[in-house]
Amino acid sequence: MSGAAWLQVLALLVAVAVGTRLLGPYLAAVFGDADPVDGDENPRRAKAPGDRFFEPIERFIYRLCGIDPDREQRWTGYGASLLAFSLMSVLFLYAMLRLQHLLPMNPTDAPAVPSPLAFNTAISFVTNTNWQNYGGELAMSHLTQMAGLAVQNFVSPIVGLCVAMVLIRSLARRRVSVVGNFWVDLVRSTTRIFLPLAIVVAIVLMSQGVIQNLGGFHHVTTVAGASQEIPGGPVASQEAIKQLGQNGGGFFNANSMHPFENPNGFTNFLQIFTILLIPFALTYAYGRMVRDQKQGWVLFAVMAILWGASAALAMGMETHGNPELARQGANQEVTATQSGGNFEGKETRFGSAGCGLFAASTTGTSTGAVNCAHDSMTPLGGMSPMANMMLGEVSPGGTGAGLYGMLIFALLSVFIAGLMVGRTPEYLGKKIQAAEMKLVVLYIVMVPAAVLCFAAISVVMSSSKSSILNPGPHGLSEVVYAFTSAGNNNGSAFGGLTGNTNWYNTTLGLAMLIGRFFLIIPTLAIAGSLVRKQKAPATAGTFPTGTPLFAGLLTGVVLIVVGLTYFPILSLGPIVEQLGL
Amino acid sequence: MSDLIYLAVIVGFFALAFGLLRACEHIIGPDTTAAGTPVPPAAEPVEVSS
Repeated sequence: MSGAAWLQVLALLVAVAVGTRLLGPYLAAVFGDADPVDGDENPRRAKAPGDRFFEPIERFIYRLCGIDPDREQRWTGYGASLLAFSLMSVLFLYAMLRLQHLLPMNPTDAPAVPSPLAFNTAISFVTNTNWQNYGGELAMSHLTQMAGLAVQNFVSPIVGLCVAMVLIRSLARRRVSVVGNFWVDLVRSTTRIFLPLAIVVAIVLMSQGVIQNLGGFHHVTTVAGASQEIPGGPVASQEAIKQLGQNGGGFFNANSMHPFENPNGFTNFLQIFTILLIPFALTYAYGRMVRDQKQGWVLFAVMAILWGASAALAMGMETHGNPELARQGANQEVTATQSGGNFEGKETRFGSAGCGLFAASTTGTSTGAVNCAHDSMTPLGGMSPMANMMLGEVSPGGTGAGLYGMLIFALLSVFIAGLMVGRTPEYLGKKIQAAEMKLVVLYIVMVPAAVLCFAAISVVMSSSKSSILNPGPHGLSEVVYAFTSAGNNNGSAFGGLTGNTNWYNTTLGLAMLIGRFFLIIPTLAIAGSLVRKQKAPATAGTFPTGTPLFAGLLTGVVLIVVGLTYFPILSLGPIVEQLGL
Repeated sequence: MSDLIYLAVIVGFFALAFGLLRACEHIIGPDTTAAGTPVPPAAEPVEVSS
């Protein structure tokens, strides 16, 4: 890798560490309790910076919506509110997509979205996946982009954040049944975290050339005399929340490769930083809320190790170049006139290393935005984002989803450690028993089952096989990548696969629903079980979970569980393809 | 017609999700915790000799 690539990685690490330290305490203050809660069903909320500004706004919203902010819910009530909100969101977005040709703010005369595509798109944005079987600049009206998709870009990550906060509270509180109020968490996340951050990031992006207007197509004549239509639209506002909320759905079909979305190296760096900021900052908030900062740093370290390994693999393989081209005598070295490496499907302004770094960050976080074509990466370079998603989006994962995913693996790790030493497993003093482990297994099995079953059916049915562009192992990778991306709510596309068919629109939509809500429910149930429990005092026999040893164990458990699940399919896809080069 | 099918699939999935919520509630058992109810402290871990 070039010196510039190493410098970019180093600067990013420093920025993320500083951002985590600054944003983490604020997140903890927004969602945390004022005092340790022990048997009190009406816990007091912590004081947070900005209360004097935000509370009047929030009180108005609560009055308008009939929310009692002082009434906390049990996990079942919290889960029912979350499901009801998500169901209404899917139905509302589906209706908007089907009726957009009749609605205002449609300067490009976008037609109604066909029902299979509307089904896929509505689910995609509500589940924080943002898988796109369409080109945004052609298929969507400005109203759909702003009042439909962008709204979901705010609230879908917030749903994940709410679930993470419930799980943290269940570990911090003792002997109570309440875990928070979904509607209060939803409002506070929007007003205090995502809206302010999105406004700042959007303004910075606009200053760098990302467009923000309500125009349609501009007809221009190029220097060579040809005629071209250049699309306009509210891009910067969408771009900011696209990255901050790990959404990933681009305004343009080319996503973050498009110069109107990602004009230069600085915006590319800013986008990677904003992708990583909240998931990593949540680990610090977690440590603060459970009143043991070491616990937060352990999760931070494990996430950083997994993300770093993935980035190193993707950047290394892409900068190393394509062995087949090397045999043909092509120069893939870094020179003054080229950034070198495997340059197929790359943007000149980002280079091969920038592609690898962005790919690792976007797939490790459930974002799914792309600044290069993943289908054009080397086989092992392309395996890196796929394996990242197979980890279950925990490196560092989506907003909230990454943290609760990692906490589920932490529960599994202490259970395995307990089995090895013959002790009742505990996590933060809470005993992990049969009920929690049944729910953990349900969580871990659900997505691989959906991904592998749908992929297996797709590679044997002739109608779905016709959507595959490339034969052999690469074609298998295209299908597996699509379902892995949908099932893990990532949304990045490998490319090559024609996804806009009835089969793929429907099955990818179902995979997204399963990957989102069939994981959220067991997580909430685990929280509901843990929050009732007394904390056992630490003894000489307690397995400490705030140590480098536990970080190593947790990393190993994540890799072994995911490896055992997915290694066979990776062997038949990218690994055999790499060996054939 | 296809709209009706897709809407039925969406509503059906969320009905299943509510069913899963009930099933998970069954797994963790009834909530016996009430505010102010004293709960005996958890037992110390038991050493298992090899």
